[in-house]
Order: sequence, then structure tokens, then C-alpha cells
Amino acid sequence: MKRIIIPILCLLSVQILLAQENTASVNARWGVKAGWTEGYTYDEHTSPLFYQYDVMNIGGMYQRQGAFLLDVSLTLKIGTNRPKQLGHRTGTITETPDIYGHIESYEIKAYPFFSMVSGDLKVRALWQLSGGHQLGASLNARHIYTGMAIDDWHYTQLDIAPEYQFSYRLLRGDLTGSFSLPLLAGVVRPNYAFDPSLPDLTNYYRGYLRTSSSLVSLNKLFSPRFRAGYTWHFSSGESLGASYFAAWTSYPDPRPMRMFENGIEVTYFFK
Amino acid sequence: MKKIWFIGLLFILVSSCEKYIFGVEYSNNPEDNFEALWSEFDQMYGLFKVRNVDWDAVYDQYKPMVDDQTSDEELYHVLVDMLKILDDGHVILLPVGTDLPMYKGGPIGRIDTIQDFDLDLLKEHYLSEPQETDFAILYDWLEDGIGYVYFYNFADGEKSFDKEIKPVLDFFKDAKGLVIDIRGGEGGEDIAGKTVASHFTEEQRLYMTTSIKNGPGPDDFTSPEEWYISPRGDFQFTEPVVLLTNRLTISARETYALAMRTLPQVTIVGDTTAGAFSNLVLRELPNGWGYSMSIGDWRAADGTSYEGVGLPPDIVLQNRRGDVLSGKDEALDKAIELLR
Repeated sequence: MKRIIIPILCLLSVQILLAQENTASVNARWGVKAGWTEGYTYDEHTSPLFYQYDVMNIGGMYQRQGAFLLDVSLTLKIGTNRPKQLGHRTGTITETPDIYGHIESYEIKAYPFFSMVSGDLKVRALWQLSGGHQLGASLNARHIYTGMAIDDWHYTQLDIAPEYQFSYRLLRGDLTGSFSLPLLAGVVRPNYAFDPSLPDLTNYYRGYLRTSSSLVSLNKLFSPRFRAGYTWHFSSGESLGASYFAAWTSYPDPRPMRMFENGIEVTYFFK
Repeated sequence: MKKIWFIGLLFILVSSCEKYIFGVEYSNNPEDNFEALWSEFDQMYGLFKVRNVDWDAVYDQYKPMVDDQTSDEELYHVLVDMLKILDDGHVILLPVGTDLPMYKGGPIGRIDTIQDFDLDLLKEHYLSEPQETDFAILYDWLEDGIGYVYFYNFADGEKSFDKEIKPVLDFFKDAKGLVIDIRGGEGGEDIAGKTVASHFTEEQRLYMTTSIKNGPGPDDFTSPEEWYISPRGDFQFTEPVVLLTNRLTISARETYALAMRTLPQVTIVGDTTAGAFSNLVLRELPNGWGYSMSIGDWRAADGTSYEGVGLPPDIVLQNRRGDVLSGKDEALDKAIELLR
């Protein structure tokens, strides 16, 4: 029995030493990603309609593995947003008649095909716990700009969240799942009457920043995020991954707004 | 396999049970469309008190006219009749996806033919070499020493309008008087009018206060913001100015007029303005129809509200259609006479 235990202990010791060696050395890499997101928005403050968006994601990533994992990810999303039940619509605007009684009219497209842009920046730091468990924190910035109720609509969220990740070694890759829940956030969203036009402001978004920015915590903003995926590591040092993600956001001011989005992403890390 | 079913189920739930998961309040039926419009005005419209409208009484009067059998056309007429009570130039109903016409409130909505102004005829009979800025202003000499400035719109911010007005004022630097014409055309941003008017004052002047609806209750308004004009640009034009207005002078054109009327060198000639000063928001109904409404209480510096009334000119002069068609603009002639 002793003959078996000692070699196992030796092997484990070597493994631990190697692991410590790996974590002590700094290993940085860059990556790119592409994917697709489908989302739903209901903003009682803006429209009685339920909106659906479909956007393409592209982005870049940076990972640095040292004493902890630093993970930076920037995602840009562009696509279409429209009321789910009604789709893309056009309306006819009529001008005031001229002196001859002629009335000019023109069509407006309420929701053109490209009607949504959005950006997400995520910076997270994760420390290794026992086994595949990792715990850390993330800083997330999110801005959405789209059309809703035949007008502009935007939502900005900057939050800090504890983040948990579990990794499981499977074949030549890692199966990973992560979860985060913002505890503190700054939110900018259209105020009650939507209109922040002020005598000393020349930019509506700056007006919104001044009149409708809020610092909120979990009791107001509930915005959990989940991601699961598999990353295949090539012997050449590159890696290829695919993941599914989902996020929910609910915010009550000035009237309830709820969003759900989910999608898939393919990631590629360079050597 | 179980996991796939679970994810599939989640997709179906999210995409088909929005009413329960997202709390979607209204469905697309005539009664909900009526309720959505009435209650949104109830919470966000900023002028019930100023316009002396009892919105609850309006509900009692019009709600019984709508039931689940009401057709689109019937619903449109009920909603239009209800909105007509507000008589507000900023209230529009756009029945998207139907052949029904767009409804416009206020005096402009009632016009079937403009009686008193046509820019093309004015250009033909009064201007010889009109010039235009990038997007907002047309200008020319009317006669020796008297300049003419027409605003197509006020549709941008401070920076743009500094850039728009500068070449115009440089051009008319030595003019003995200016006619500024804000009849007809589009509205825009109040900040644009404030910027332009600031090029005509040598001292800071309060000209307007604005309060915006900031809650669902009838008295939920922001505390009044004060709007001032103060000297702007390399020089300020302080020679006599005649400002021409008519019933089509609406919104940002009217707040520009509020700013200009505080200046001692300005005389307003023409007809009363449209009487729709407040900013507006765009909204939509569960059936997708769009609408707009005024969201605030805009007042002159002395606290007077001209909403629904319009800003009266110093000299009332209503052009006749026949005169305008034959090339005569009596209001403009009067302005020239005042500046000679």
C-alpha cells in the first residue's frame, strides 16, 4: 500500500509545483470573437410594445494569466430591433398644405433593418480556488442605442459584480461556466418625460447624464449574467471556443424595464 | 438531451409568454389601445391645467364608445375626437399601417390652405440673389441697408447655429435694419433659438422658464429652468429688427420669438403664433400607431403661458391669400417701412 501511496503523493507534489510554476509565470494572449444575440425588451416607460432584437456580435479579448486571471473583453453588436408582434413598419407623414392647397407627404420607416447598436466592455479578475473553482470580480460597461416608440432609446449600465467560474478539464479543452450578479451600478436611462433639454445643455445624452443618472444596488437593478462554453486547446498554443450566454436585466425607474438576451459566440485565441 | 429540452423550453417561454415574464401590460385590442393612449396622456401630458382640460371627464365621455368590436377606423375617430379637446399643435396621431390620415392638433392641423405666406413667391418678388447657409437660413438684401433672413428650421444645437448665423451677420454687419422671418417652416430645438437670439443682445436677459412633467401625478413637474440670452459672437447686431410671425410659427420658432421680444430693438409684425411651445415626446400604441404629446409647461419670462393662445405680435397684420398669390406680402412691406 505504502508503495502505491508514495508515488501518488510524489506525482501530486510535482503537479502542484508545476501548477504553482504556471501561475507564477505570466502568460498573456489576444483573441477575437464573433456571434449572434437575440434579445427582448419591454420598457413600460417608453412603449406598450414588446421588442425583439437580433444582432451580430464581433469583438476582441485579452487574457493575462498570472497570480490571477485578468480577462478583458470588448463586444460590439449591430443589428435590428422592432416590436415583436408588428415587425418593421412605415407611416406616412403629411405636411401642412401650401398656399395652393397642395399637401406633401413622405414615408417614414419606424424600424429600419439596422436599428440597433450596442457595446459591452467587461474586465474581470479571477483567483483560483480549489479544483476548478474560480472567484473574482468584474467591471462591466454596457450601452445600448436603438429605436423605440418611433424615437431614440438608450440604456447605459456600468456595474461591479462578484463573478464565479467553474472549469472542468475535458478531452483537450476546458468546459467552463460562469455567473455574475452586479451589486452596485450606475445607470443612465431616459428620465420620466424623456426630455432632458436644458438651457445650458446642447447634447441630449449629456442632459440624460445630468438628469437621469442613478447609482443603484441589487435591490433596484437585478442583472444576472450566465455563460457556459467549451474551449479546445490546440497543441500549437491557439485555442478555439464556443459559448452560450444569457443575461436578464430588470430596473424599476421611472417605470419598469425588463430585458433578456441570449446568444452564442465563437472565440479564437492566438498563440 | 434533458438540457436541450430545458433550453428549448426557456426559449419558448421567453418568446411567447412575454405578458407574464416581462409584465407586458396591454394587448393589441381596441379597448387596450384606448386605455394605453388615455393613461399615457394622463401621466405624461404637461398642459391639462394650462389648457383647462378635465382628462378624467374626457375618459368618461369617450371610453364607452370603444369595445372589442370597434374597428380601426372607428377607434381612430374616437381617439382623434378625444385629442381634439386638447387643441395642441404638438399632438399628432399617426395611424401607421392603415390608410387613415395623420391627425395634427392645434391651429396648424385645421389649415387646409395656407392663406398668408409662401416662401417661393416671396423669393420671386422680393429677393434678387438669395444665399443659403448649410441647412437653416436663407438671406439677401431687400433694399439698400435692409436685410432679409428666413429660418427654414431650428433643428440643431448651439455649435451648428453659431456656425449658421455667423456668415449671415457678417454679411449684414453694416445693415441699418433686418427683417427676420420665422413664418411657416419647421420647429426644432429651443437651444438653437437661444443661440441665434444671443447674437442680438448686449446684456443677459431672462426670456423663458420651462418645467417638465417628471412623474405620474398632475402636479409632478421639475422646478422651472430659467433660459437666458447673453452676448455671443464677435459682435452683436443691435440695429432695429422686425420679426415676422404667423399662425404657422410653432414650437422652437415660438421660443425664439420669446427670446427676441425681450430685445429693445425688436418689433414683431404679422399674425399670432401657433401656441405650442413645449417640447414633445413620441410614443406608440399597442397597435403600433404613433402619437406625440407636449410634456411641459413653457412660459415667458413674466410667467405668462401662451400655450394654446399663441404669442401676439406688436403690430397685427394678416396677409390676404390673393395678395400673396399676386406677389404682395403686406407684413413684409410693413417691416420694410418700419426699418426705412
